[in-house]
Amino acid sequence: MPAQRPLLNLADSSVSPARPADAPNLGVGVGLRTSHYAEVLERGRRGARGESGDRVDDGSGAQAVCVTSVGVDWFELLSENYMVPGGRPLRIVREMQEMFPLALHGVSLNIGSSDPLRPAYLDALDALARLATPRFITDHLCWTGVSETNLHDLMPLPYTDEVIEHVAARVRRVQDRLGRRIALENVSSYLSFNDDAMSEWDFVTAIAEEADCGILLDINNVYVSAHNHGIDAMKYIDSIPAERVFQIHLAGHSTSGSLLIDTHDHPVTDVVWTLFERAIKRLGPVSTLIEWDDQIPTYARLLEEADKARAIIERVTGWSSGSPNASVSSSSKSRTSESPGERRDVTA
Amino acid sequence: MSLHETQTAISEWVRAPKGVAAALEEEDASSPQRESGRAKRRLENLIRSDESLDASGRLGIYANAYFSRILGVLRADYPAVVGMIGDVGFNDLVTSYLLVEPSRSPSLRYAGLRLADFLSNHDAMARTRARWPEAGDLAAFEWARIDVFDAADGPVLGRELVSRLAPEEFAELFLCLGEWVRLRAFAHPVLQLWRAGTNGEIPRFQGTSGEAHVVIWRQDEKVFHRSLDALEEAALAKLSLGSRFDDLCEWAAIELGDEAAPGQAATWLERWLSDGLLVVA
Repeated sequence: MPAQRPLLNLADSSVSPARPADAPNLGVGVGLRTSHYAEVLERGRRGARGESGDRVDDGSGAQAVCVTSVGVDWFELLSENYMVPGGRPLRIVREMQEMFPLALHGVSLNIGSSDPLRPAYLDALDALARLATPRFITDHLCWTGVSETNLHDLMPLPYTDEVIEHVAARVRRVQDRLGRRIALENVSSYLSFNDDAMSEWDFVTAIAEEADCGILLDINNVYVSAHNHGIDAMKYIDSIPAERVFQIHLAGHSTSGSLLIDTHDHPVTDVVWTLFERAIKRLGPVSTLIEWDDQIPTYARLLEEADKARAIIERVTGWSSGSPNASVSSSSKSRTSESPGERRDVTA
Repeated sequence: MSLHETQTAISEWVRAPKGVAAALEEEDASSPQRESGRAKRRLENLIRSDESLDASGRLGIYANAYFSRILGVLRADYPAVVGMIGDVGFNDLVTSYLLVEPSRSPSLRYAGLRLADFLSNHDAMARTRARWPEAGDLAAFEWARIDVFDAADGPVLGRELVSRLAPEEFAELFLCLGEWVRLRAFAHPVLQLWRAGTNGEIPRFQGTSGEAHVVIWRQDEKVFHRSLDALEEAALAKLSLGSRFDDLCEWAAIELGDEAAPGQAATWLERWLSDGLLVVA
């Protein structure tokens, strides 16, 4: 089992770069889950009626959004859950789109596969993007199936020049099809290849540079993979080019024997918060998302995690409501003063 | 190894029904050389081992996740079938199913698309069918409920619109069933079995054999179903192809006689409008 290393020396981190125009800092968001639909939409509707929260111009010119009534600045939708013909899923997308900034996060782009790209999948994603008008479209730097058979898992790729060339060419085609840049997330992995010719961070960076796409930096995945492969999580965080980081993900993990597993069924761990702080010190305020996919807690509990992320961003960068970097913001100071479990909607 | 060869090997090992170690042994046994340990060396040449876990153990994490993830989704999709054939039976069913019908869709939503057909028709399921002859029908019914949940939306023909039309205007409308409506015929009484299965009882065949005609639909984002008599089933089948209401009434007159047909057609129409089954083609 790899020895855990001391993780932090914040003093050596550098100043935040300017954000790319297509990767605005949206603030802190959460992944929307079915069990929270009713509460989120009701809070949003109350906010839209002016009963709570702020109506904030998010800078997109598309619509005013109401964010503070829900305690976060934006939501992420899992793309495949909404790539269906109709019914409740698409009604949820329409309602969410009217009220909140959204991101679409996929798990099945299969960008690293040796199979051809699937036009039908890209058509469905494009159709969903037209409905959701997301600020980001993201997926994972991995493969999920081959020979038209899906494993429904985020399988790691060999870190070689050939794979970089292969994946980057596919990312460019996807971006051409969607008419925008996407961001790819580093995945948690439990195996690595003898053919690996570089570090994971060099691999992630090379693809982002070669394809001119963004990186969705999942801090929990950095930590999980670093633990599982005996690599240096701090060096990983420090090596990712800041201007390529479009978004950050935070989640919890579990232990299984000698390995860590990216289960998204626990709170974010202390060591991941510490790594996040290091990342934010270096990157500046970046759109940050809390993921919680299994053993899903109450919405209020999820907001506690979001508030922790917000507090770190504010403390490290000085970013807050009204900050020039914040295209969407919220009155987090009011929120963080509330007791856990007794959260009320906030009127700024 | 090329990327394709690497991914193909990993995919086969991960999807092997008895786990990675058994897959390696089977690979050796089926190779022309029958050389023991050859497949393991191939795996170890590809995937790094270290002091914490060897290559087979690391790949095994993905293999376990593959099966448990899909099993979890299918258990949620087919709760009454699980209730009928039990946890062990359902695990065996999913193992066999994935061998023949690996997931072809990017979304887990469609992983169970062919389960009912597999259960009803595949040779590998002959013993299961002999013990639970109704399981295939039950699976088909449960899948239809999933299918209508997120079927395409459309403008429902409501009572309000109909009440604003003159009788002759309504008679000219070409009516269809909405995309969110399914008509299904079963050889077994699936509704009783499904009710038992979803109430935590073990669905058992009660000897009430006989065809069941069922309509399944979505209304206000909820999924509904009800049984149909043969005549209403036939009427809805006509509407599924598109028909003017007048033509339907003429057909009903042939079936029921001139006296009974108008009243029956009006009753049907009232119910169909109330259930939100109809659209104007």
